[in-house]
Amino acid sequence: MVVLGPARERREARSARWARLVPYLLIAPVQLLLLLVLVFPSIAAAGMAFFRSSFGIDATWVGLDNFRYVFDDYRFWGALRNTVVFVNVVVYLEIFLGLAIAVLLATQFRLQRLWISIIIAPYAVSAVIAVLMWKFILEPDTGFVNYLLGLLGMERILWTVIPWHAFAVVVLLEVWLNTPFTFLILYAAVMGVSQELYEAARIDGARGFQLFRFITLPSVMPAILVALMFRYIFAFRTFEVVWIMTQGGPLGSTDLLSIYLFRNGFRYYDFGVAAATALVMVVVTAILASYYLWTLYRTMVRDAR
Amino acid sequence: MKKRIYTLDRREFLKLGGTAALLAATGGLPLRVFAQGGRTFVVVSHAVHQTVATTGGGGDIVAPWLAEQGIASVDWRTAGIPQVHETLFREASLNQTNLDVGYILNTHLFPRIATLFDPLDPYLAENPIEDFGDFFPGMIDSLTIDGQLYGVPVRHSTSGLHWNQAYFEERGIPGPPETMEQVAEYARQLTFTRSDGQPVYGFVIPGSGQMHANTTDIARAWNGDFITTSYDVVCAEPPMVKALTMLRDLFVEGVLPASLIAIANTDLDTWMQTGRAAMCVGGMGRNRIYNDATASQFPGQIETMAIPVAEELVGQFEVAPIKTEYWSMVIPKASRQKDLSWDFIQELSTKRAHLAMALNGNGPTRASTYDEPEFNSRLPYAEAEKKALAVARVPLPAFDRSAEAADVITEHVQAAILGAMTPQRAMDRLALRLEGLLPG
Repeated sequence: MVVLGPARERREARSARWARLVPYLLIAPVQLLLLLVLVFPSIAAAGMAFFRSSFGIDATWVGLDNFRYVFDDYRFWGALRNTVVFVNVVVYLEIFLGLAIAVLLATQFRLQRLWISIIIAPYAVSAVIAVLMWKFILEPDTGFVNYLLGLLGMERILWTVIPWHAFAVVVLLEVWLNTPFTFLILYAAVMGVSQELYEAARIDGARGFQLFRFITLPSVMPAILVALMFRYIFAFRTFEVVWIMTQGGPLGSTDLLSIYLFRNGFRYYDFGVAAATALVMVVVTAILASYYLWTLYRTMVRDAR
Repeated sequence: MKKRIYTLDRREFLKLGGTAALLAATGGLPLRVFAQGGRTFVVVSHAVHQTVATTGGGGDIVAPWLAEQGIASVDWRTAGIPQVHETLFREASLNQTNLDVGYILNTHLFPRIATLFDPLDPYLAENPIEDFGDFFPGMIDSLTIDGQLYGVPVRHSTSGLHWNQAYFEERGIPGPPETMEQVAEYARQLTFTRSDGQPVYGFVIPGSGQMHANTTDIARAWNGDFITTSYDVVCAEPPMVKALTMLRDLFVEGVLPASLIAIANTDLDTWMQTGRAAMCVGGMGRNRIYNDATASQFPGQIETMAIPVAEELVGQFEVAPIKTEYWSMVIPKASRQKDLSWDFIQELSTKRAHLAMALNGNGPTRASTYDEPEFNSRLPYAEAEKKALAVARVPLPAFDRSAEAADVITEHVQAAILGAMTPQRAMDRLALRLEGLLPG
């Protein structure tokens, strides 16, 4: 048995303490940065929801008045309805398209790299540039799309006049811009499905859609849930696409919660109401994210068994 | 031989880190101060304010002032209209700011916001502005809150009717319209397809962004308003309803383009320059853009006139009491060199400076500038603008929730023009909404 001297014991104890401390010290700068740029401003913004706050006045405590104002505002409910429809249509359309393309490309056909590059190209385009480009292409009078529709004897897309046309256009734009993100997640998952599973299923007589239904889909379900969760959160705060394209119009048909928030915060300078709206958005997003996280957790636990 | 690797010691690291932190914290201010010879003067404005003060046929009126004050240059912090105001209000809300002068639009200066700025009466009493009574009185009145003056008007934009002379001749129309009814009639005749296949719209107003203001331009032909300067909601009364009915009819007939609500002012510039629009309503100052030989297909052929009144008001008004909006210069309470700020305002407010800025494309806020032969000879629409200014008024009075009111108005105007509601019903509903937004 080795007996340590008291000095050496102290040294080793100090060294052990230091070793325990080092990981915390190493992550401290990042944590500090997160505190400064994320946590403190978030707390301040949440606090602001309970104050009347604007330029030229001292912030005054108003309790839940800002929330009452938001919930009494017909434009908030219009924006909430539009947001819920927009997010669901956009996210599920993206998942459907992303999965379909991923499965198709997983069959390994010619020029696959080229196809992948083409599919993910929209993700490399700045949203602002993309919207301006589409605005030009979809111009009701002189746009290329309406010109083509005219040649085919079809009705024009009047997104500046007909509310549902406007809504459909912003949905399609958002889908066009973000399907590559969903595709990348799902393509990796589809490529990761073991070929042995397919071979075993084929031996059991599974063919075509059955292979997809009983092998591919369950295998990539965790990835689908991850994509769903991310896209739900991102789509919920969609702003620039809609703002640049329609500014929420015509007739409020594309007004989303993010636009409602922007107007209150940066056009009306009503920071309290904007903060209350932000808090409502955070709560709704958190509920959605929790649901998907919980489902994801259950799927993983089930798979582990 | 061992290669020497340079390493920072603790002292050097602290020095560098401290300098970087200082630069980061002050937004590089020490470097800028150094670059400007130790003294800086900061102005927050729209880019057009810098342009008219420093560039064009009237010359640079800021350079001599800078030389006199020993300042290297003015740090013009320019941005779009919403960003200018957001920056100005944010900076003015601080305990101290290095911002010296801000430009503010009339719609944004209301009692709550005025508390962020210095009243200018003491400055005016101590160092008067040359012939202050020469400024248009309506502008000075609206800049006076609780008996105190908060801004000095520096630029206005007053609407006019722009018309393409070449198209008028081509379609056999003898001359410009004399009433608003004629505007509609001519617009129908001017809606056609050119021989090269390009469709031409007889009449266009910008529908994106400032729909409330652009609709007011038409309603003023019947002397209409959404809200009067005494805060009465009058949008559901006949003048506004008649204006919206006219716009709705023109829209249904395809005289107004389908993309109306997406057309911004800058888009309309292109429409006029390329001949997609035959007539439009917009700031008179845009005449220069429409006739710009380097960009327009119709240089020298776009005429600008005051907007005519409706038949029922002929005799009461020479021209429609059209919309005017104006910018003023203000001094934030938190500024640190206020005497210099006032000196700058004083310099840009002289008759000489106003003439120079007008020759550079500015809308002058001094009546006497319109009597200057040099200005009149260079500006083809000077007489029309003078006539319009005599009766012009702002589209909406300034109040705490005027920006929100503008959005609500836009929503209901769109409903009327696009046909979601009849103009009367849309305005009745709008009246109810506006009542809830007004002060008191």
